[in-house]
Amino acid sequence: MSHLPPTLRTNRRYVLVRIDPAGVYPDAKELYRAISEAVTSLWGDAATSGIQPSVVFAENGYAIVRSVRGREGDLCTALATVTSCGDAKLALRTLAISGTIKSLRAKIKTAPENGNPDERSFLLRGRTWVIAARTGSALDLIEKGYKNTELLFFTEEELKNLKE
Amino acid sequence: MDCTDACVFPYPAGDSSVLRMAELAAELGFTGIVAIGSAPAEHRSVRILPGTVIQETSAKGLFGALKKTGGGAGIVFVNAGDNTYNRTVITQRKVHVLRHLYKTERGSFDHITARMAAQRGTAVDLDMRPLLFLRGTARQKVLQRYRDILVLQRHYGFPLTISSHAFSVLEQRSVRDISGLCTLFGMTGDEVTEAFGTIGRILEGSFPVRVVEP
Repeated sequence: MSHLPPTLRTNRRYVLVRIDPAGVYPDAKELYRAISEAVTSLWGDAATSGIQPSVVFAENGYAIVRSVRGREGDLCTALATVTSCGDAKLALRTLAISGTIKSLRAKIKTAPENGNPDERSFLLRGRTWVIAARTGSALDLIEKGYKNTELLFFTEEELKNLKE
Repeated sequence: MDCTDACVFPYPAGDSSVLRMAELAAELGFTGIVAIGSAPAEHRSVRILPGTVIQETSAKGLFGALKKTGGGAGIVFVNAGDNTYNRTVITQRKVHVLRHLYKTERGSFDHITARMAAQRGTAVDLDMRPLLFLRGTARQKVLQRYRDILVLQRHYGFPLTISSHAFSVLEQRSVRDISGLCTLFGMTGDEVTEAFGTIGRILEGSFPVRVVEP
């Protein structure tokens, strides 16, 4: 298949989003499904075909989403309505919009830490919680036990006052 | 520019602490948040204002609840009910914001209640939560209610507040995202900016009682 000459190609815009919370890394397909559902339910089928949303890549807590130029505002509004992806609760934070993927990749900061950076545990809501992820002074806590997925969001400052 | 998220529910009601919500609010472009059940504070240049929500369905219950709210209640929100109840709510001096109008019948907030709200300076809250979480007909109904409120607001000029009603940092949205969501029901950028500043004006007491022409 031959490609269209550049002057005939549709102009695109790319949106860099951060995926919150830290440590949730949905794959590009899953994320596309969530975004497509959000765009379609907000703007309808006809408008979605005009926006043409697609996920260029999703890794390390960041994603680049593509749209037709001039419709990136509609895409960003729809991205705000994404509240989950599969079973995971998440939020997509729009960081930047650009005409090239390269310039957005340059804006991606180092991936947030994952895993258990320290072994402290905290008693909250009558249950024991351990640190799941840390970003600066922000700590995401997860209930101790392998089946749990519920998260609590605190800061280091507040947890210092809690009994371990 | 004063830009306050009019209502968030930090831990223990939600899953995020008040400082974490304030930290994110700063990143998202806010200068303040009204945190239900929290103490007043300031964190990373974000003003944390206390707030109280009254969830009563009768005037008697409302009067009782208002009596219990002391000086530290901060911004007082009352859940809307039917038309008669809403008129009672609006006339109470201690009430700052009428919320959850989208959950009530269409006639619960008419031109008379709108005029009373404008005269008393009682604000009406536009909750962004249903726009994020609802889909289909349910969301369409909310958007229609907000459009109706906006028509009355443009005519009578009562204050509006905009809130995320976030129970988690994952439910907070940026000023730009909220502006985008508000355009869905016809709000202009200037109206959104004014609505974000309403809480600040309530605190300054700059909503004097005024006469609104019918």
